Amino acid sequence: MFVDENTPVLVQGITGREGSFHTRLMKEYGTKILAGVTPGRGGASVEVIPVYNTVREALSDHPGIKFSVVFVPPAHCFNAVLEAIEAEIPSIVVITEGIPVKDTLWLVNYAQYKGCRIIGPNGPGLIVPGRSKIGIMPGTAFSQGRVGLVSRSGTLTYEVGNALKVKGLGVSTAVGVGGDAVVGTTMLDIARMLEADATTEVIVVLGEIGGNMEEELASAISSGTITKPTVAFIAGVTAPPGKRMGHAGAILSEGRGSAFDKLARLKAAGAHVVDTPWKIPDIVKELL
Amino acid sequence: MRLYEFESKIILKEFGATVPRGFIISKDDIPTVSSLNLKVPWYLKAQVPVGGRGKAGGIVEVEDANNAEKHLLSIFNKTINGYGVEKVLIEEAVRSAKEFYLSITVNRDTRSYSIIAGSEGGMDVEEIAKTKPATILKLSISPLRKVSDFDVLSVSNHFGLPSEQIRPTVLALYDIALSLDAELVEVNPLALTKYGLVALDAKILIDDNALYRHPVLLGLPPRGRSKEEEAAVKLSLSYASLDGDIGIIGNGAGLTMATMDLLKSKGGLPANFLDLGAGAKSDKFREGVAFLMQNERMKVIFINIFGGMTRCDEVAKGIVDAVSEIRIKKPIVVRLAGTNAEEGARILEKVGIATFTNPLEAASRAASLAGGE
Repeated sequence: MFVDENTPVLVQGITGREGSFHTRLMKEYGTKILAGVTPGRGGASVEVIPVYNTVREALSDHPGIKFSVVFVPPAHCFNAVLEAIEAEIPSIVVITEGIPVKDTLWLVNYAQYKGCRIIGPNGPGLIVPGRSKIGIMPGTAFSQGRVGLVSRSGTLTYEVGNALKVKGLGVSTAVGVGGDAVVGTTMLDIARMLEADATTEVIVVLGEIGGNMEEELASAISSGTITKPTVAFIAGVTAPPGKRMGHAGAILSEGRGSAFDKLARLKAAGAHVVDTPWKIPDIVKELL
Repeated sequence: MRLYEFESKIILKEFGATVPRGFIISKDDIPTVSSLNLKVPWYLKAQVPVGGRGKAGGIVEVEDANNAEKHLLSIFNKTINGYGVEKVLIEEAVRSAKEFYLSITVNRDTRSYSIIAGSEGGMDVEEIAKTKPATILKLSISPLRKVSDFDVLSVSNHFGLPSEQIRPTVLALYDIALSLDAELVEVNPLALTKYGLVALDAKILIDDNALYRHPVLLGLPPRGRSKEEEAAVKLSLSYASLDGDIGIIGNGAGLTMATMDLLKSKGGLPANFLDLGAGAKSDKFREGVAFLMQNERMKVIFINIFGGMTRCDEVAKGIVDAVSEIRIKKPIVVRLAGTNAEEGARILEKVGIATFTNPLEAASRAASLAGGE
């Protein structure tokens, strides 16, 4: 299990529209949110959660914080994430869509240097059904179970979580790594954690065109790093080259990263590949 | 955003690289070529936001000034890989003793910048990498540091050129990438000429997410989009045109792509990608549905929604509003699941639109409706 109801969380951008809305939903779900940050709004409160001007101030009152979830708009997001890294918060979940790739490149490298993990940007965060959710995943789409989900897409994660739920299956942990071209935590990073996670028995991979994260994962299955049965879907078989499909990272460029190649690599490595995500629950049922 | 060759060359020159002498000519203001007073030979180069223009006749070498106007007009009348020619770059034809490839790019796999240096330029870099991998040198530049002397030296050794000769070009590419948020700055070929190293062709891709901090680039006219895509941008829709005849709406990029794929597997042809995002309200759906309904290419509209943050009753209201506003009648196939799906289905049923809960059945229905006409 990646997080539970005792994992202390900070919300950056807590007074914004998205930040305050999802703070309420996370709190209702059972997430332990200790503090929020919005520069200039120190002293206020959101859902009875104290708001601070800076991450440093929040941490001096709540030193145990393990996660920060960032809802700050793109133009100010670099500073917000930098602040979280400098405060050495171990895990930083970045929900924000539209951050310039130059900013993300610098932040993920600096975070690595400082020993922090960035999840995202442009992702839905993570959920451990029944325990805690850090991000924007709808709690009602998931029930507790033994399937670990790693995804590049928010809505597909909810769709599959729900499809599993309908068939009486549940999720141990679901993580969205983010739809941008450069992200802080790869699908393989998450798959390794699911491999080590005692509650996870099957790993479901929801990939899409662009980049090489799915190929990396396929190699890890081949080499025996990932041994749990894996089911994979890759979105974008019909996407033409050179066109961005919504996500900044979902683009076929220079003839690499096609859905076809990714599926072939995963299949050759021994993963169970499906041509549509709605077939996943039936396959998972056979594997459990 | 992809910059045109002439824009890329203006920037390269500004950052210290050498480019051939040239002029840009617009379709609506074609001067007499004699007024330009150039010594032959020179090139006429169509400015289009796609590759492969050479093969499509978009580049002409003029050796006799008397033929120049004829060539110029013929280029302006061309359509190159789907794009009309609005501008032509007239450029001194510089003879090269040797050609190289040089670029800097955001490497999403290693999460760093990469300098790519090819000792044989001219061809497409993917082609070079495939046929002559040994001619390619790839250097990783961490975002936490600057490009350094040893990087320049690596390129100079690889090219067999003195490092003073290659330094200005390497630094120009790096500085452009960093100061203009470029995802790619590519010079191909980079030619050794009597003027030294000259960028004969250039391409710059700017990160769309960073345009807000580059007002000059933001002010450039749009390019590389179809008319449909241009109209969608004005409505702030996340949209891409495809070739088929079934209009698609989804919520979330992954789900929308999966919907396209599903439709194709059932024999349907997706006409577009339209992601209305998580949590969209009825207004957004009204706008999206109306946008697709008005497009003559689309025979059927297929809406596939999973209500997580999005509420299916809002989706249904939006569809009903669009249908009552627009006079055009087209079959609409809707699949709803998740938050308030039953309520959404009831709202649609009242106006005679049947809904599905199973996306596979819905996709089959949409495909057969489009095929039946």
